Amino acid sequence: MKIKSNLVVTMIIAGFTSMMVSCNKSEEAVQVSAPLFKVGQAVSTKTPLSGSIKGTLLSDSTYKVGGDVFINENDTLVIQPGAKIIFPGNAPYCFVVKGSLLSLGTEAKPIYFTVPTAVRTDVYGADPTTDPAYKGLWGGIYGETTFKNIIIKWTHLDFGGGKLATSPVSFMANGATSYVLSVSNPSGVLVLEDSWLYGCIDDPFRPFGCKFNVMRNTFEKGGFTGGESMNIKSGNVGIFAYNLIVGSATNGPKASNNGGKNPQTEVQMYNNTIVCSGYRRSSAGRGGSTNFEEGSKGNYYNNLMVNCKFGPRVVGATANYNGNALVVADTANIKGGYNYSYVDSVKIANEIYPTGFAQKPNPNDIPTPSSFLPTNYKPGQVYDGSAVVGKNNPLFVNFPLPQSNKRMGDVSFVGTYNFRLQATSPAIGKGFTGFVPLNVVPVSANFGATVITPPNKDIGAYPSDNTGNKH
Amino acid sequence: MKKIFILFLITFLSISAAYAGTLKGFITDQQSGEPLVGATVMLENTKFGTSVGLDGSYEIKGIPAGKYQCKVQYVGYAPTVKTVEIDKTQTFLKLNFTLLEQFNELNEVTVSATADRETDNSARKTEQKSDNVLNIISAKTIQLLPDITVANVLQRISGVSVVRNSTGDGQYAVIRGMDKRYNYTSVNGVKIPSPDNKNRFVPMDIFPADLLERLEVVKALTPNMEGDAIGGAMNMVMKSVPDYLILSATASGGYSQLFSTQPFSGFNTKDVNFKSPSEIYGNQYVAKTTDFSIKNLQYNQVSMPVNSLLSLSVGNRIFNHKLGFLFGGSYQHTYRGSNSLFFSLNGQPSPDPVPNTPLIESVQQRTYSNEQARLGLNLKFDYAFNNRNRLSLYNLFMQLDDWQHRHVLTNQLTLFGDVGNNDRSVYRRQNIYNSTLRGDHSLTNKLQLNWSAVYSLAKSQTPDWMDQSLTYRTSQNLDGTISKAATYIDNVSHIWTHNEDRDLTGYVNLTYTYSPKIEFAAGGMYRDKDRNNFYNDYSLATVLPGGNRQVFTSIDKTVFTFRPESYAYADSTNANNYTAKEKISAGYLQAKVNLSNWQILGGVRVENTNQSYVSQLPVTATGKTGNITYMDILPSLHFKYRLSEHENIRFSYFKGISRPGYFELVPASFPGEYFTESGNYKLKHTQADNIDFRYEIFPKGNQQFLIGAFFKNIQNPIEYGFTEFGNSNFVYTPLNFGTATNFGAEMVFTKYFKNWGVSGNYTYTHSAITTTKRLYGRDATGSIVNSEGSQTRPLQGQSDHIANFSLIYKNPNSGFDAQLSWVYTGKRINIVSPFLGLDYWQRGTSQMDFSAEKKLKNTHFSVFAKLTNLLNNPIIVEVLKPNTSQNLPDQTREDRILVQKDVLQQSYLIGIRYKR
Repeated sequence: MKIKSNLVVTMIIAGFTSMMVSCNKSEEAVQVSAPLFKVGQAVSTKTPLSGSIKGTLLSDSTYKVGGDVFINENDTLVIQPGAKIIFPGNAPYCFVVKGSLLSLGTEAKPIYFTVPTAVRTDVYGADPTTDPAYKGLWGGIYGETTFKNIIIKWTHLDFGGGKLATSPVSFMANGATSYVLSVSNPSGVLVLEDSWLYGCIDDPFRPFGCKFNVMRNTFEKGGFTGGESMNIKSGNVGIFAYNLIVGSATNGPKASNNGGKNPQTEVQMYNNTIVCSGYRRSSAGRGGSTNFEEGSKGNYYNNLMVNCKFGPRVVGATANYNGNALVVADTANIKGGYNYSYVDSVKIANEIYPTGFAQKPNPNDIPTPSSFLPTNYKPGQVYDGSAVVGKNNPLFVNFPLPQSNKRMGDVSFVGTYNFRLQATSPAIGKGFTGFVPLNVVPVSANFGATVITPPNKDIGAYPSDNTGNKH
Repeated sequence: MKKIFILFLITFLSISAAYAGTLKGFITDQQSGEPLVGATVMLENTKFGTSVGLDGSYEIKGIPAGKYQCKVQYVGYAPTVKTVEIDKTQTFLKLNFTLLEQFNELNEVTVSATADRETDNSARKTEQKSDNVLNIISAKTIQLLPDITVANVLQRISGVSVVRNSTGDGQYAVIRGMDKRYNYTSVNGVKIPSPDNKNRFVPMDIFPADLLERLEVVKALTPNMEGDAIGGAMNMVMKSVPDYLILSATASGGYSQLFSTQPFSGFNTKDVNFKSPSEIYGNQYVAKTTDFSIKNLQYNQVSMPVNSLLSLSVGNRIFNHKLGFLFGGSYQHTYRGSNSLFFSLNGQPSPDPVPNTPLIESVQQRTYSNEQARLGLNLKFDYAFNNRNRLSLYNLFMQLDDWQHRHVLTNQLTLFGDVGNNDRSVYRRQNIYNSTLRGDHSLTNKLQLNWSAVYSLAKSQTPDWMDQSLTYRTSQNLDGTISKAATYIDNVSHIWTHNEDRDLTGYVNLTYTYSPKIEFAAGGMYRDKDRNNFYNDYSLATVLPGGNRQVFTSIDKTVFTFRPESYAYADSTNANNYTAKEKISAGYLQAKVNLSNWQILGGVRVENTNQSYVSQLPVTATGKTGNITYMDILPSLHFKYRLSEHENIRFSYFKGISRPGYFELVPASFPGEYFTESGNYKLKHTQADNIDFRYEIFPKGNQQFLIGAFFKNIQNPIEYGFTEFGNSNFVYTPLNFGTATNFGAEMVFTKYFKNWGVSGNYTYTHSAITTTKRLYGRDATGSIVNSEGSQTRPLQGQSDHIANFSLIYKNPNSGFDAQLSWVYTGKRINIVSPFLGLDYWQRGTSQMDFSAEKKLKNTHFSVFAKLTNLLNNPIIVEVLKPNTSQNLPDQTREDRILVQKDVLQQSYLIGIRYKR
């Protein structure tokens, strides 16, 4: 007790002193940069990265990858801001993390995992069958069953997710199609924030077990003829929020509890902006925005969907899609609402609440359910959505709506579009803030999330208070 | 016509002259007392005569009073004549004959083929005289059975049930409740390799039944037998070299009832490429879409296709009887099929309302059309240098071509979503080749040596396995009507697989006859096995430029591409590619002692195993290659006590092992939607202590009655279960689960009443194994959680009750034989589920078959017919959990969920046989 009161007294004195000091204008205001976080030895740029590596990839340096890279158990690899990791583009090399990988980019100096010879073809209506984004020019970043931390901040993960040869990862088959980011340790910590995932054959992010915080990222061109921005299986708990998703083959985030791991899949999907998703899926109806399936639980609030093939979906009864079972979600433990859908065709207006599924309209959804759903509407029922076509334009800073001249799926990239809200946007002030985020990862500059942003009063990834997506 | 008239006359006379005398009696072997079934009894210079029935009796009725010369004749016996007088005062006259075996001039050459080993008589004799517990079914019996493959014959043997393939044809044997992994297959005592790509067990439907001299199921191993059988060893003894010219041939044809109501839908693989593009052009080859044929997906509809079967066997002994040969050939070309209703359960159950509640995710109608061409060749030479040295060369070639088209129509359970149609074409060629050079030498009068040098090759090839699925979307309209969108074609896959098992084995056996009552034997064996497995698959995309899906018109108009382009490379790293080697060395010592009524055979066998593999795992993984060695000491002891000339009591003990499958050790992982499957190099081989007790009586020749009991204590049985690695990472993998027990009782009987006979067997088996399984439910807080529980259940494939019953009619007089056969297989686990309590149980099922053969008098020809599956009982598979889906078709029970119902229909075959 004594010690504690002493501490309080000391703090008060210290605070008072510092106020006095800062008021004294004749003193220098010193602002120096903190040393860049570094562990172990610097890794040489001279020899291509391959095999077991630990230490630090230095800021602003370029590293070629010449084989699968392994970070052994108890080892850490730090990547400093501005480092570039380049892949040859003709081999599915992977980073296999058995210990920790910290890719610590900054807004000013992002980190790149890319193939320099590959060119982005961000052209409206371009042919996806010839787009290098869907070729998978390297493998992925994998958290093995022992991984401790994978912290990815301000990092570009471009052109990954190719077809593996001999798989360096215990949970991927030889010859399988890689994910850009995948992990399999329910107690491992995964932070993906302020980063860009561009292109992939299948799912850009497929966790098979971790505690995750996925915030403020941009997902473009995820999946060639199928794939979700985040396809969660059992053993995962975390948040997917403030992400911008453009042109995902199927959904943005999708949650399922298959895979046989503990704990039960639980995810909060909030304040995401999902644009023109669900159109590259080779079989017809697998979703196009957010999705809860087989035994998963969580919530979905404040998401802004623009011309997505389907609205947020909750699977309520077991059925089959041509060999792919759609299995009932943990519907009793799923909540959602305050989601905003803008649609430019009757066909997708009829699927704002996907027919045949169990999601319940929330009176605070936009458009207001009572304005177009029949009275006595029951979840999953077929309805006529023509009344809401072209209504409730969310007023993005730069994205032409209505989107009428070409196919919805022709938009698959951000380019010069700007999905921030104009000051008069009807999405402002319509969000729900009445729940606590699942804080499952530590908040830390190097070993955790920079900040776990709670839900916002505005809908979408770009709330007007600028606490959201920074891209 | 004349013959029929005579027949009629005899019948007529026997009725009209009922007040006249009747002659009856038994015809037996003078030495052994065996009845001589089929011997002819004639009253010379009259029309009166008959053949001896199955119990050795004969009866001639309606003989007018008078004096006759009664002559009895039988092949290989001296004809015997007795004078008999029928007078009016004596209605019945009893007259027994004992015939003396006639030794022919071949005697100086030691040939064992003096008696016809294809007969039941010989089979019973062998059973009775054998050192250990076994059951035999003879060629004569097989000939009358409705079964055309060895697999189907096996189910007629006591204690044996069969596991069927998708068209209901038997494929593997479960012996005394022990699944296929616990049994082995040999030909003429030489173990043969399997064409299976991962396992040791041999698919028994490769072998046509008509090449066999007899089929033995050995249930207690002696030290001189290979030790890796716990259930039993199936030994096919192929037709052997005869002492005189034999020639037989059959030709038959028939059809399957199934194809009278639906066409057979097959495909042609005439131009199929047995090699994948990467095998032809190299691993780095970028495949072109033109490298792939679509012919396997072009189906021809044929109505009522005709099954045809041919067989030929010819043998003789030439060059002064020194060189004997036998050629046997069989070709069977058949069409089979089935209609299967299939309820697909989701790979993970529901946690609600109770843990592990099964979830039906789709209802499928599966239609199978299988075309099979089965070729078996059997060539044996035998050269006797003198009566001390003999050399034989045996060659076997088996080929089974199987074309399977599976059409699947998936019915939606709801009104919206994608509806799929799937066609799968699998052409598989399996071969087994075996060549055995054997020498038999009498080194001294007391010391016998035999040796065998064996080369075997088992192969399986599945070239260009193709899969095609079509999808259309259904949706519900505002007015409740259903709209069907265009039909799209999904990606099409092409898979090439082949595997080979090359087996070189040498055997040496020495037998020393210390005294007439004591015999010692010692021997050794060395085997070198080399296996390789190839797997290569390609997926051809149907996505159109612009990313649009392709509307399906026909397969030949479908546009294919490799998208992404990296898919044009061979999938040569697939984990199914592996090589395995195995070296087994074994030696044994055994002694046989005969003490008055006792026979004791005992000894010990030592088997040393060295197994190794090379997998496709990365060098960074544990267990890319592996080498596993172990040694087993396998004692055995067999007592036989002769109660009387026809009765034995047997007691035996043996230790047997079962080695893990080749691929089960390879830790290659196959990630699935619900769990990852993987091999396990820590897997131990199974050992078992086996005890047998049997009483047997062979009253008269072909009759028998056996009753026995068995007990097995099985250490480290291999079953699949979950193991955890890392944190909550699980793999579904073969594991050893403590100790399992298996006990039961068997009963076999054959009884004849003149021309009628009944034969049957019944086996009760009870096994128990406890394994850990998954429970998917909720914890106290309501969260879904995976946990483990343990479940005690019977071994996979074990039925509590299996039975056979046959009603036999044999009339040697008219040459007409007929048999009605009934097989019952009690309920058993078909598939062990990873989830607690969700095993797939096959309901008890019975099958009834009828067969008949008629010899055409005074010719070498006979005609026969085989009618199978007369009752057309469906095969039903269920999960024994409460059923809440009774609105679905065929879900009629509240206490169980139907998961599969196969309807196979009858099949008919008629043929003609020539034999001299």
